[in-house]
Order: sequence, then C-alpha cells, then structure tokens
Amino acid sequence: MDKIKILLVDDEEDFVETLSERIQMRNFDAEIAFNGQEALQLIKNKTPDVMVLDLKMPGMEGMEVLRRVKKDFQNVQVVVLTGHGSEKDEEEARNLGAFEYHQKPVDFNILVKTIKNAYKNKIDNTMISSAL
Amino acid sequence: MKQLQDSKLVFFGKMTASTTHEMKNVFAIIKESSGLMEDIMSFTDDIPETAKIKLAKIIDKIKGQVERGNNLTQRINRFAHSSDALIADTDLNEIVSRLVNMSERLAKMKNISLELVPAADPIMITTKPVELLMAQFYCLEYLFYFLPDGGKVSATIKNPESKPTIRFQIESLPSNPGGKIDDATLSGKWSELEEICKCLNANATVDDKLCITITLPVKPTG
Repeated sequence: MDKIKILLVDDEEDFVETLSERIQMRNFDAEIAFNGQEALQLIKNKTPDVMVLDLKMPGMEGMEVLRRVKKDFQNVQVVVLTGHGSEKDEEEARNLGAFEYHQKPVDFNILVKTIKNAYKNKIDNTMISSAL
Repeated sequence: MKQLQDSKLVFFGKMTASTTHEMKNVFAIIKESSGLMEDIMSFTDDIPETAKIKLAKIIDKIKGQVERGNNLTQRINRFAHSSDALIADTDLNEIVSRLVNMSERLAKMKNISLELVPAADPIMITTKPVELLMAQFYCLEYLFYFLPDGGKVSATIKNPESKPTIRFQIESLPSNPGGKIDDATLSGKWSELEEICKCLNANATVDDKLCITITLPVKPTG
C-alpha cells in the first residue's frame, strides 16, 4: 500500500518539524511548508492526500489557502490545526470544506487518527466519483 | 466617558485573547517535543531500561504541566473573550463556571475550596458579561472576607419560575475562624455589589452573611 502523503503547513518551524518527524516515524510521507504560498506551490508538484493546515500565518492566511485548495484540488482533505481559532473560524473552515478542525495542542494520536480518517474519506470520495 | 471605558475593556480583552492563542503554540511545541522524546525511546533498543524509566517519568511531568498550562490558557482565553460584546447571549452555567475557575487560585490562597453546582440544563440569558463576572467576583470577595481562612463556598445555579439565580453559600465554616470582621469593609464590599447589580438590573440579597443570592433578569434593561 502507498504511504499516505501529508503536507504540513505551519509557520511555527519548531512545531511543524517535530510533528513531521513523529509522523514519518509512523510510516507516513510528510512534507513541510512554512507559509501559504509555499504550500500552494508544493501542492502543484506533489499533491498530498491530506493537508494539515494552520490558520494564522504571515502572508496568505490559512483560510485563504483552504479556499484555494478546495477550489483547485477538491480531493485533498484539509485538517485545520490552529492555536488561534474561534468557534466562528471553525464554522467558516467547515463551510469551506475542511475535513476536521483541531485546536493546538492536539493529542498526537487523535491527529493521526484524523489523518487516517481523512485519507479514508478521500478514497471513498474517489470511488464514488468513479462509479458515477 | 462610558464609551472610552468600554473601548478599554474591549482592547484589554482582545490583547489578552491574542496572547493566549500564542501561548497555545508554545504548549504545542513543548507537547510535540516531549512526544518525540517518547517516540525515540520506544523506537530505540539501545537505551538502558533504567534510563527509559527515568525519562518516561520526566516526560509524564512535562505532559502534565502542558495540560495544566493549556487548561489555564483556555480559562484566560474564555475570560478575555467576555469583553467581546457589551451585551451578549450566554449560558448562565458557563459564565459562572468561567468566574469560579478563574477564582480557584484566589480561593486556594485562603485555603478555601470552591464548588460549582450547575443547573441541569443550560439557562440562556441576555446579559452584560463583564458586569456579571464582576458581580460574582464581589460575592466571592464578600464571603472570602467573612471566611478568612478555610472552609468551602459553593456556587449554585438555578432557574425557579424562569428567574435565573446564582447562590453563593458558605458550606462549611472553619473550625477556628481567624481574622477580624470589619463591618465598614463588609459594607463597602456590599455597596460595590449593589452598584454592579444595578447595571445588570439584578437583585442581590444576603442571608445571615452566609449566603448571597443574585437574581437576574432574562434580558437586561437600561
């Protein structure tokens, strides 16, 4: 089975690098982007199955990244992971198509479970699209 | 003048809430770093068992403190957001728990324990959140003053005949109450409470200095 491809997008370098290392130890394929523009560039060359996305970043905000990803790469499942979110942000992110919304600091096992569920959702969606 | 005061409150709330969001990032980094240490220990065979046990204990302490810090941060965040709107719809259970949680440290310093007894169902009211928090705080201050050291205070939320009430009650007196009760100070504290209750169109009553009940309107006037 192919490894699940994950793109981690967060400007907190210490956080995202540590998270990436832990994820790779679980045999996932993890890439990092430190801002929204970098994420959108990376996604064109290597489309991930799941994107773990922070909301508040310098430059392009996470919400805008989410909007663009769901417009151009509908199959990419986006998990929001933020320290800045409010209930209103959560509602907006879900309306834009985010698969799940977590507040930092999240339990790592919960995050891994969410990533697996998001991947399963992607596979299910692809199968439904093919059948139709 | 009132408008300036309100702006100041909103400013302080916004700045505090923003800082708590940043603190969450700090806790997330500490949590993932300790998690990585844990991973390295479990994925590496050549670490002596005694070292693994010691490290596991240290990691548990880090995790516990992250949890503690994160809970505190969430409390401060909820508290800071109280000033987002001058009048807001809120669940009485939630706003009382907000104040009780934030007062735990003050109570602990006086060796007093606080107990929250929420209503079984949410009680939605339209109120001035900051003023309501202040009113609750004045009740606790009053009772803490009366109960200088030791004992227990409960905060009970009820909604009899659609009249939302919060009752702060001294549940147990210390066996050896210390300190001196100064009637002038108590009277001053009571005046502060009455003043803030006016803003809320609420009514405060005290029963034998052991129990204060605030009765709130479902919607404020004025």
